[in-house]
Amino acid sequence: MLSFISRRLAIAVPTLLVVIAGSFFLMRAAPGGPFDADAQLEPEVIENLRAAYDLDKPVMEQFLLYMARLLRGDFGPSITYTDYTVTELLAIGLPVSVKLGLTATAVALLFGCLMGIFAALYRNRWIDYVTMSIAMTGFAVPAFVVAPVLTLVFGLYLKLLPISGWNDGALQNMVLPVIALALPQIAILSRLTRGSMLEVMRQNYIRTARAKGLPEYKVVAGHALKAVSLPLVSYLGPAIAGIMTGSVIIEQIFGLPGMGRYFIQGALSRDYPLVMGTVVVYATAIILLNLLADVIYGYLDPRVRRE
Amino acid sequence: MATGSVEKRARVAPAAEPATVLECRDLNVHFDTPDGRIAAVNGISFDLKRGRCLGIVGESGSGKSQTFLGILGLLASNGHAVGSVKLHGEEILNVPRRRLDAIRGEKLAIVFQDSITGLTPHKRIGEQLSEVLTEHRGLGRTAARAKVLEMLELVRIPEAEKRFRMYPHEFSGGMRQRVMVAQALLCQPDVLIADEPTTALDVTVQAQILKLFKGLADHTNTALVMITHDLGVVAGLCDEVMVMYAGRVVEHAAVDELFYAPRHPYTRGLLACMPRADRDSEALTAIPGQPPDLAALPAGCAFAPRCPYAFERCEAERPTLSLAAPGHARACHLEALP
Repeated sequence: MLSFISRRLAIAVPTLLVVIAGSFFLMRAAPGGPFDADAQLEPEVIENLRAAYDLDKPVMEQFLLYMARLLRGDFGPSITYTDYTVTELLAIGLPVSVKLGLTATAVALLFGCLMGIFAALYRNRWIDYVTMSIAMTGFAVPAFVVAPVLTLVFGLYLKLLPISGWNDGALQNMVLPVIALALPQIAILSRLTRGSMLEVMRQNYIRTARAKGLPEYKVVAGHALKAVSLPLVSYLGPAIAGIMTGSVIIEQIFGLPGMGRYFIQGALSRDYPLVMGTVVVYATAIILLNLLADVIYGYLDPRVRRE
Repeated sequence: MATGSVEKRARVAPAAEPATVLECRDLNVHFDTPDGRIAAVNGISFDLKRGRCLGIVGESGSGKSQTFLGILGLLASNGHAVGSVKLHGEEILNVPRRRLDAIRGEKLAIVFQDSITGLTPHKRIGEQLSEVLTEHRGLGRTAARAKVLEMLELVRIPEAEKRFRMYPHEFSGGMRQRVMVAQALLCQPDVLIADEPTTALDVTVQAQILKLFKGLADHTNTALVMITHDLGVVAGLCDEVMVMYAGRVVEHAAVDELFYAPRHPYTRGLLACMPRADRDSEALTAIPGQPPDLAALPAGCAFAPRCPYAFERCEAERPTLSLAAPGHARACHLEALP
């Protein structure tokens, strides 16, 4: 297992490099620059500013300079938030995004699995139809529609929950963004669970377990659930990626001071170091969490544990 | 009815006829499919006596497995069993799940054909076996473990201690089948149903597993049902045989009777198909034609299209099971085979 993990970490390094290089050059290829909006500035001032951020050098040289700094753990200064380094901004945004993302993942797993299991156990009955309709809706309606509707209903009409703001992660501030973030994942996870459950319950070993005289709840909990969870664990990687990218939009809509907001604002104002910083953190997180999913998979299925 | 028990000089020669354990009367199994209802088993009746072995022979799709899955309440969700099955005089067909759970694994145990998919892949063998005892006998972990180890040794699994902690994929096919047998025997069931327990195994391993069953039949009071398509298995193990074709019993007799004096053309065909070492024949014989489609059975005898002796009556009227000789029932219009 240890050699498996270290091998996967070794593969992660080139992956990360490709991601960094890709986003670095793509961003420079996009039209516009960080000081375009400041039209009132004198051309000489802009020249000085560009020089201050090394933007006057050839792109290749900029990249090498950036990489050299990154290796020392320095993400560089932010261009728009002039008083902050990117590291300081990430230190503010990351905990918010992590808390939001983890809560949404937990909620998605809990409800997705429960809905899927019940839909499968009551296949072709009303529970199945209701949960699967909810799942289809959750899957079909994008987050940027769900979020404003939630705000409208629970925030403005019913006045139950605040419509935006973080408030240090208070529960009432978390509810709406977490729901909006988890909904599409609940949809996918519940359909995945239902399919997996139906497949597993058809297996011969389930019949064997019943033939042993085990009550149905023991058959499901003791003999089915582990196998049911395998495709879910495989999907965990993409699910986490989905929640992270979803978080970018949701943080913007609900005005949460997370990484996603810095990413969007950085991208819009061409704050190159800030965007790069968020990209590096996102990419690292996705790679590590995928690795975690694979480790869990190996733990659940003894047949893949060897070699 | 003629379908009751078939008398036979008992193998171990007890003074009196052993008590009936399982009594099956007019059992039907059907499946509801989008294309209509399919009758897989029709009007099966038999008695199973203590310590005896009943062989059920037939081709795939003859309903031999579905009969016993029906009895155990293990049919697929679109399957239904109708009729009467009594265990020690108590009706057990279609009883509530709670009652079934108390019987299954405790009084009625089954060994399935496919041991590769028949054991839960992500659970240690020891846990899978122990839970039978914790469930039915209320044993604690250590007590169950001791009993399981004892049983694993009884079915000749070497290094039982080590095997206890292993997963099914770490066992060979023959070892897995032994585990399945051990699992079925843990509670010393009154009836052990073996559903083609050797089909998936090598010939040498087959012989070992059959020896295991034979020892069991000879030394315990467990009644054994051996479902197979292999007449050789029946000859070596069983006291009486039921031959099934297209969901019905076509012949039911003591094992010697059936082998030396078959009274149904299908049974005779099956016997002719067996390769024999003592005769110098060039080619294997086969019954011409295909097993019938259960969804489109003929009005008369289901075997008529393949039967070399079929006459008009066979196509018009389905023969019922009736006694041709004492203890020998067959469903055929012929008085005697030509």
